Amino acid sequence: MLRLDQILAVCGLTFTEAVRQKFFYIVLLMGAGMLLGAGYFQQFDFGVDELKFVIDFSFGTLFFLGSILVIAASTQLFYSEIENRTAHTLLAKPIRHFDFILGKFFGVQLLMLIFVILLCGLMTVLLFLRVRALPVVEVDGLVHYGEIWLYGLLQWARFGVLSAACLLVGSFARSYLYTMMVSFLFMLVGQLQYIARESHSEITWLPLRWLVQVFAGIFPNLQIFNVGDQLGHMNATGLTSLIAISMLLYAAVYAWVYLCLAWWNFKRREL
Amino acid sequence: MESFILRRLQSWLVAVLLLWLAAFVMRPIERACWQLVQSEQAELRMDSLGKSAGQGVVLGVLGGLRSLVADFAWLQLNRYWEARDRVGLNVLIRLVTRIDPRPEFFWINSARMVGYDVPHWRIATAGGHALLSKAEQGRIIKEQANEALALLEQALNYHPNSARLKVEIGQIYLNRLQDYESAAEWFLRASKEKDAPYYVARIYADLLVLQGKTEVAYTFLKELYLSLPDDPMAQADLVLDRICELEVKLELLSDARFREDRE
Amino acid sequence: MGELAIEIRNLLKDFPVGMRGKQVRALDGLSLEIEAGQIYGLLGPNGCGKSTMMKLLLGLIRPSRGAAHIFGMHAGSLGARRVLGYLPEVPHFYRFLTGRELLNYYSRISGVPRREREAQIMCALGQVGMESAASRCLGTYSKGMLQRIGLAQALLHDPKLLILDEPTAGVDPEGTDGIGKIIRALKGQGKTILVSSHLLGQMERLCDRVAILNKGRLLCEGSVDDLLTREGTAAFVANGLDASGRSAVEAAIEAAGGELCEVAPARRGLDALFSRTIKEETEGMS
Repeated sequence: MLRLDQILAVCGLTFTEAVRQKFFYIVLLMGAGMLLGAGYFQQFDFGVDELKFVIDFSFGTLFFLGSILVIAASTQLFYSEIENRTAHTLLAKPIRHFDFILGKFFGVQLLMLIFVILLCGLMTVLLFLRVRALPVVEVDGLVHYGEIWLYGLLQWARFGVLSAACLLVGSFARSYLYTMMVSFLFMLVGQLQYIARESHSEITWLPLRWLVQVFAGIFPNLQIFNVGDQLGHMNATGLTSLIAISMLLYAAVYAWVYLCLAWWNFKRREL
Repeated sequence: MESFILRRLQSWLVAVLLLWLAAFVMRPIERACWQLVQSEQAELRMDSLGKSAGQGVVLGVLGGLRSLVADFAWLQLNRYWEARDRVGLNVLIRLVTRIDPRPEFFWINSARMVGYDVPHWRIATAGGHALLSKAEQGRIIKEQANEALALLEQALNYHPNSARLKVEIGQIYLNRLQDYESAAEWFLRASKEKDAPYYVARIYADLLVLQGKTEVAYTFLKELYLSLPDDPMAQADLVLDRICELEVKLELLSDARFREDRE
Repeated sequence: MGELAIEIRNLLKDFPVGMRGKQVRALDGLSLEIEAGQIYGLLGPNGCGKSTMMKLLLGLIRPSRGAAHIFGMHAGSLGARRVLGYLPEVPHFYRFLTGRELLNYYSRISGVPRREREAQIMCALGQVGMESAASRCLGTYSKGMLQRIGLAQALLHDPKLLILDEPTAGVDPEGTDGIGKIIRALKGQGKTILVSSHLLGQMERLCDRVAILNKGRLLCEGSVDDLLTREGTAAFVANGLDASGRSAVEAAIEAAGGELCEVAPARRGLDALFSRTIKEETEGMS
């Protein structure tokens, strides 16, 4: 009970601190602006039909801006505690390092939940209005609204992995900039590690092959959350519940492992 | 100092081992999810990743925003086309199709530019149609047609069941290379796809006739006629007329004619 | 000997510097025992190891060798952290919170039960005299107020031991005086206070015992009286003596077999003068 209250206290303060920052609103406004502008950008589209383009673009906005926000927020909200030495006062209290890390993690996740809900909500409304305005009689099924929220949920899970990884980096980093850069690098490697892994069989030079294997083991395959093509649109194949749950489980396990490592490092860190 | 280095090493070792363990445990889950994601995105399941690594990077970094980036790159590509800049055009075609290989529009229109427009630019640069020898013009046309074909065959990696792409390949064989046999082969392939327009099969039959394979064309059209749905777009009458024409050409006796077969 | 609040045995702390991990020694075999119920002063120049020692007691860093205990518990353990309160040298708090919100946050972190929280917050605010400013954002606080609210957060869970790192750093003399009074009051409540400061005059008046550190080593330690009294000497402060009176006193000392070492006018401390002047001005205005 006490531990839960401590975690909630850190979580609440982290969230309060996050929503007080202008950056959150800038990203949120950018996201909303991009979603609202999707119709305008659609005029430049040459490839796919309008709704597919708008869904694609909206998913891309959530994916792209969400990644920036989660890394910036996790880094700022965790590392600033070390840099400003507020962590000194806090950790002199009877709170476990792990609970502190967990509180930070949940605070950022709460922020990201709000971000995802707002953008998915706006996405749903805009698509609903667009569908109604289309010169077609049968509008049902043109957009799978539930899948938009499923995409949001999966991205939120992915943000969780990124946030936990940021906390891990922050637990040993010595500067804010370093934490930020390494976290972004982590995201890029996570998104792209499949390229190295898929070409693994083609690598004949043994040391490089081992290196690729090590890489594939250390970094999660974040590309599995790239399911925008499977969701939302009339012709989308959708995801089975089993696959969706598997993805959430995958994110949860990796987030947990990174949190444990962040705790291990943070506990050993000299403040 | 040793203990300091050892402590650091220890941290890294623990981290790597734990992550390895997580990767090992999660492998079955990750494999199932990954296969599903790959199944919908051709650029993620290329046999030779060397060709698609660039697309993977773009996809990984931009996600859904890549369609917009590709669209803007396409606008730029059109500026090169207007300026008749062959080098720029080729670079932008590669860029656009790598950023977003999903729209067939990019592939087909790029192939048309390469196969139909660029030969004229090259001939004009080399002196014009009047001055340049027919052989040299033919060489240029063939070279460009092959480039366009290579582009469209690359597109088939992403859209293996696209009738439009296959028709486009057939058109290039037909119009640029006058290779009726290959053209016929591609029109036939296209006609077997789900979204194939009805005319594709009729062109295939015409190409067979052009090659002198009138009997094969006649048999094909008969089978086609019987398989056509009750849809005015299918233009069954047109097929029947073609069958009649071929019957005349083949000098078939009235009892061997198709209409009687049906009765 | 009474209960030991802090027990430090042969504490050694090396800090790695740079990528290659070259070591810099911050504490060099420090041993110290602090009895419960005292105000204990840590003195020394910058970099002497005062803050390092405090961080070790808080568990923010680990010793390279040796051990420290707080009321018999390992320094840094959850149990040890439950019985101590800490005020850092420069208290950085969340500027967007009000004083009350900050205390509520720390009371949750300190594990103060929900039903006792409000009372504890009020009590801590009362102890540091910050009730009237409790609803203001920390961003609007002066340095002295920040120190006070910092002290309040250290008191929230009613700890037995208070570790105060330069509690009066950057605070004006009046504020310093106020903090000194709070510390004395806390001692009156039976708390042990470990305090470091550069204000030697204040430490002299405040502390029961002091230790002087330099380069991580303990140079001397003892009660303030023991350390400051020159053995076999006595000081007399006289008022209204003229030249003949002074000669008579000097003669009397000599006659008694003593030796007059120094004759100087009696001076009050500058901090005492400042406090009195301000007090008089304030009283005059009211």
